[in-house]
Amino acid sequence: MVALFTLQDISVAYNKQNILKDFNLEIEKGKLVSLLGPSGCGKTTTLRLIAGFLQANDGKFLFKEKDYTKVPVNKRNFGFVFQNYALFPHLSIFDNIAFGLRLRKNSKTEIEKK
Amino acid sequence: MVWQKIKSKGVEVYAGKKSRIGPVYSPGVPFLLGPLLIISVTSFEGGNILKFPPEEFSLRWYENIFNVEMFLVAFKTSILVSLAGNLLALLLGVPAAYALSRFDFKGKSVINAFFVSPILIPGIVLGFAFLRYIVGTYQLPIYAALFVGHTVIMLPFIIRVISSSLSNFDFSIEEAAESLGASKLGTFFTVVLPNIKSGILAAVMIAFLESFNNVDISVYMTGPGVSTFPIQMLTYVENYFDPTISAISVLLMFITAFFMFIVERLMGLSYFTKR
Repeated sequence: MVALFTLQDISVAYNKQNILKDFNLEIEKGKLVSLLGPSGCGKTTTLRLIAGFLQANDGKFLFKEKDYTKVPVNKRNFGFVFQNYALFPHLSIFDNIAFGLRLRKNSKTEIEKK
Repeated sequence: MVWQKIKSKGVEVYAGKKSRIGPVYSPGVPFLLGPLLIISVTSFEGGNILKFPPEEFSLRWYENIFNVEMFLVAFKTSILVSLAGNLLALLLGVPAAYALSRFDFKGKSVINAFFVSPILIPGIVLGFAFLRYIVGTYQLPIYAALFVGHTVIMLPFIIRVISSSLSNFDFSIEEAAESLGASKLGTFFTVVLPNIKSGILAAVMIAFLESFNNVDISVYMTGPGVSTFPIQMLTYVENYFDPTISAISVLLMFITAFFMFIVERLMGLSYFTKR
């Protein structure tokens, strides 16, 4: 089966300290994968790399066999759940939920329905 | 409030008691407010000479402010320079404050110090430097020189206040907006700016006051026929000794107090004593 996500020889370093070095991971469609490890081992870094919040110093990230390494966050269409919820404090509950739908050009009736 | 450790039934608890520092600084209050009070009282003098205590009560010097044309012209110049300089300082200051708060990069502390340096350098020295280079070397017209000089003195206030506002901003909501499909620029305008708008408004007001009340830079920049309001006040004092200046001072005090009240309501003045 072809992997949905593929991390190839990924290396990430902060302040000359390696967080990930030649890291490889393949995740198939429909699989539930948990990343376990001690604090500072690179779990969050891996997730942030997949989401596009940070760029790898080296290596490739493939999604459905396409190179997503340089694709910006807003073009990836990946969901990301933040530890602190990351709600928009200046918006109402409705507008918080509608934020992404509006960016996807959903109609007003569609947004209200959802 | 001072916290004191008390042992109660074997459990250590902390109880607050009122600070005794109050009586130490209270004699300083009349020392600070006294001159302002005297100026305020003299503004109601009915005679032609500024004196304390006033011999008769009158509001004629308040009326006189609006009859002296040089004050009206200088007031317009000050407003124009402060607003235009404020706008440019905002355009430069908001991205600078954002970059300094959001990213870690080499030389960040040097850039930070560079932006704050106009506050640290004595105004009279900065004014002379501007005179030498802006007026002397580049020979800018008076309005342009005032505009550049006032932008430079407003920039540190804009950056500092907006940086304080951004220090409370949770940047993960910016990432959340991007992951939902918003571009970097779109995120800045739809998520970052609405959350720091009170900080921006406070920065605008403080910078405006700093520019409007400035003497040491303006005194080097002004020239024949163009003067700012505080410089015009100085010129007036040199030639006249009536209570018009007291009346203007009272109005300026009220305007400043009003602006600072709004800043306090928007952000709290404690922001400027932190960090």
